[in-house]
Amino acid sequence: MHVILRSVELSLNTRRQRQIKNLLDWLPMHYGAALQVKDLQKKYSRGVHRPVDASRKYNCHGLTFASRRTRIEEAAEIKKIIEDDEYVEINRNEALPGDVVVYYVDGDPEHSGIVVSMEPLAGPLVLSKWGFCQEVVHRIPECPYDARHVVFYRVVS
Amino acid sequence: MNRLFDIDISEAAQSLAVANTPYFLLRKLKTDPAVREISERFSQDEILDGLRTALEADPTESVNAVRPYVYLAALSQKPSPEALKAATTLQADKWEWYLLIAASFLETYFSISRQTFRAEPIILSSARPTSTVPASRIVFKA
Repeated sequence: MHVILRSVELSLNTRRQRQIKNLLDWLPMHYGAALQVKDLQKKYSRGVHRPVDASRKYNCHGLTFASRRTRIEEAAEIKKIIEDDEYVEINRNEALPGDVVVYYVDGDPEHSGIVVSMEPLAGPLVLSKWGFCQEVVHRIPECPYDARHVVFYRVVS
Repeated sequence: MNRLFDIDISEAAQSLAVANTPYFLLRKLKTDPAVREISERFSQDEILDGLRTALEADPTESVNAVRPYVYLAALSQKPSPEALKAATTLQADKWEWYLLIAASFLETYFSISRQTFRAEPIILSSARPTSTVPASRIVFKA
């Protein structure tokens, strides 16, 4: 029997047992996504573009906060995770591998990623997923997102 | 209609491809050159017709997937909100961010104060050949 998998919400809780609104979308990617991935590789050639396919199943916040299981899109949900999971804001120059970074524009968390290393001159290198497209290890500003207001967080206990 | 569908919206398609949140796409559409071109070149009825047609397609291809959002953005740049209001009532189940983006454009539309006024010039002094001051001083009075 074939099971048609469409969009579902996973049972996903914060530490304080509040459900995180999410969407796991099993629909195939748009035709043309592979070309968009290649365009991004060319445009951001200094990044390490991981060889993973474009996917609707998870986005950047799903990678950062939900182990690549699902998509999280709403600002209120990111705020809920940061509060309930006891993330503490840290200074950029204190960031270490394992910390997370969120890019905000007018309160909208338009991007997030996980710090994977601190380069002496370039600062943090971040692993993130770019929308439906690929995962990339990149410097903070070298991505399609507005990097003027980025906030670093750490879970300390 | 074909002319509307011929406008290159690949930049918007790329914005959708990297969008982690619907508001990212919304911000990108506001400054997308194709959105401006469509808004300037086509009437709101033409764009609304194009939107209806676009919603009948399947969003399986990257350009078709962003097309309704592009047309919504173009309608939001029109001087009258009527077509944008009509667009918010269309059936768009296959576009998961459609209702949110349509509502956001409509909300933005009405939060911006739109006022048109006519400015009539008043000439305060006439040109004099030997004068070192500007030939005339014109003040616009609302």
